[in-house]
Amino acid sequence: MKMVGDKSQKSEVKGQKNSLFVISYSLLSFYLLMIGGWLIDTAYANDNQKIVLSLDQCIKKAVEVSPEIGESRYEEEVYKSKKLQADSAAYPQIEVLAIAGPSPEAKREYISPSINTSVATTINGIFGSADVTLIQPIYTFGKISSFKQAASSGIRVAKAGVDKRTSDIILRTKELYYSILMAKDMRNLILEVKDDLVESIKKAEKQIEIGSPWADEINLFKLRTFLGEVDRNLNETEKGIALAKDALLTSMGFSRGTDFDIADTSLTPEKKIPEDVSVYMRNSIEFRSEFVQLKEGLKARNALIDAEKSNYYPQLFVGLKASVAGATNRDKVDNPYIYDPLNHAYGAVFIGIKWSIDFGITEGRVKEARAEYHKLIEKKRFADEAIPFQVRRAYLDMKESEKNIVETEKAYKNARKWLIAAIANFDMGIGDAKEVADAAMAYIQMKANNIRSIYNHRMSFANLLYATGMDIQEIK
Amino acid sequence: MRFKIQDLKLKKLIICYPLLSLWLFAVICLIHAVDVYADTPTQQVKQTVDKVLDILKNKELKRPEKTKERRALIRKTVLERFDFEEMAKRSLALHWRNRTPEERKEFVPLYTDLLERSYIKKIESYTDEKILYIGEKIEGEYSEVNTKIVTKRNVEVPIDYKLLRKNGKWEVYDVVIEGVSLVNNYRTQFNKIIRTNSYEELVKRMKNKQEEELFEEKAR
Repeated sequence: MKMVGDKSQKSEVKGQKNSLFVISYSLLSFYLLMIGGWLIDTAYANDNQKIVLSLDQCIKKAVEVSPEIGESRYEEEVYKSKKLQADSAAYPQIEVLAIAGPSPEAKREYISPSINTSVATTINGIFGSADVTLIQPIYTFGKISSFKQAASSGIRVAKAGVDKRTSDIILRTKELYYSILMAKDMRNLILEVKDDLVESIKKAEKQIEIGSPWADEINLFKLRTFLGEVDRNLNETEKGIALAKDALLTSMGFSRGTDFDIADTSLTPEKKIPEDVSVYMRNSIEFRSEFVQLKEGLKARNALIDAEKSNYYPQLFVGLKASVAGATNRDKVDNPYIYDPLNHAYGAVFIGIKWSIDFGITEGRVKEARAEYHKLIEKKRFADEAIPFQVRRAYLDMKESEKNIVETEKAYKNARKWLIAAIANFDMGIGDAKEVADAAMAYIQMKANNIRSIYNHRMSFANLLYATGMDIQEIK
Repeated sequence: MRFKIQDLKLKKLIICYPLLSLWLFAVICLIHAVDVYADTPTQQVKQTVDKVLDILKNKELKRPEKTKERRALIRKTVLERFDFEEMAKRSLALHWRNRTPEERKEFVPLYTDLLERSYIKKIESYTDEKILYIGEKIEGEYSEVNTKIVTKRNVEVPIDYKLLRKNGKWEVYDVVIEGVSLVNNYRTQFNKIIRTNSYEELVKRMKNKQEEELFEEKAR
């Protein structure tokens, strides 16, 4: 009875546990569904949201998704694999061959006391054999160490290649970002002018409509002509913004139709105070990826010359060879003059050399490696001249645009004052409309020049960071 | 006896009433004076600007048929704060002294009318612009209020008001828009016209403009 009671109690507890499990499971499933639904909703909502990114965010995203950088990273993997091969060449290489198969019968009577020369082959057994060869290089006249050196430098060249690609993408992203900002500022300027122009046209139309003796139809035609030009510029600016946005979106891996805008609203001059040109020159030697690539490339090429030179000499090695075989239907014969490939056991340690002697092939390969090395030296000479020039040019561009910002700002502020005074005089009856139009034209031109100068300043600073490799240091 | 009492009451009333009135008048004057002097130039400029903006935002007054009424209200508000006579005097500068009282009587309203029209035209185009009061300078009876208009396209337009204290009230005698003083500009232009032509030529041109404006106003 007690046992029955225990059992029923146990089954009750089990039943309760099951119910609890079912309830908990249902609740958990419900919550999971709720969370899942919420996540789907959020994801959908995010899909529909406008994406607004700052310059840093755009650069980060473009670098993340760039296929060029992905390709360069695999280039690095290639050199890492070569390094692994070179490192492993110093360790022993073991070759194992194991085979099994049907075995023809062999009895010692066939050769004892006299060799029987007519024995019918009867395959009625199986055999198995294993051969092991171990080769350990002792001295390679620098072949292995040269390949190791070449592979290590190759990795650094590939890493610098990734930096180079990243630097290219940073510059391209900055160019697109600043282009959008410049176009937006230009659009604002055009719209500012357009508002006033539309007002003036309305006024001129009204004057003609009411038959004002001060109305001049030619003025209206002039204003409408100017409006056409303003609209054409506006269309061009809108197209520029759309194209630059598309290019930026694509470079960040977004689809073309994505609702996207940049975080900044207006182009401002670079806030960072520039260093002396000598600082940039020094930095370019240290950070510029091409310099790193050339420095490491030369080391790799030099190592490859040594590797080719090592082929003039033999490769020394020690080895071990062991072989064992057995068959179910063959007698073992212990006689050093008789070797049974299907039934034997032996081992040997040896020392050896491997030497390929040719009459010009190795020399040709050494010469080829030397030529590759010298090609790189010439490339370095070119870079030694071209990169400092590029740095200096970007620096001078930046300095020029810095001065231009000040000058064009003075110019457009004065043009603005001219415009204000001309309007005030016109309203007072002591100034003519032509003066207002001239002042307006000068203001538009000077303001546009100022916007361009700010863009040039931003771009020349970006070019300077690119030329010195400091842009990579900034994002690192 | 009854008369006497009444006479006494009357006497009291006759003596006390003027005293009370005088006292009350003094208190009112003081309150008014405190009120006027408590307002800084910025507060006074702001009051006027806010009043004008209230008129411009008034939906009822926005209707085309209410244009005249709206402009009259703006004009009245602006006149309370701007000392157009002082502006005209400063704009004519040396030539003001050579003007007869009749000429002055003719010039000030003409100048005021054209300037008002110009101001009203500009201010009527303001809708959602932000007006920031960014500074104030007071030197004796003179002060300057620095403001900035931030347009809907985020363009900042600095406008400074130069004020002169007259009878405890700050009155605008010059407006400096983006560094251009209206009074200085008019002074140069007026001087140029008077020197190369004549004062009569200046007035003729201004009247011509006023006629043009009035013609357009009537046509509306």
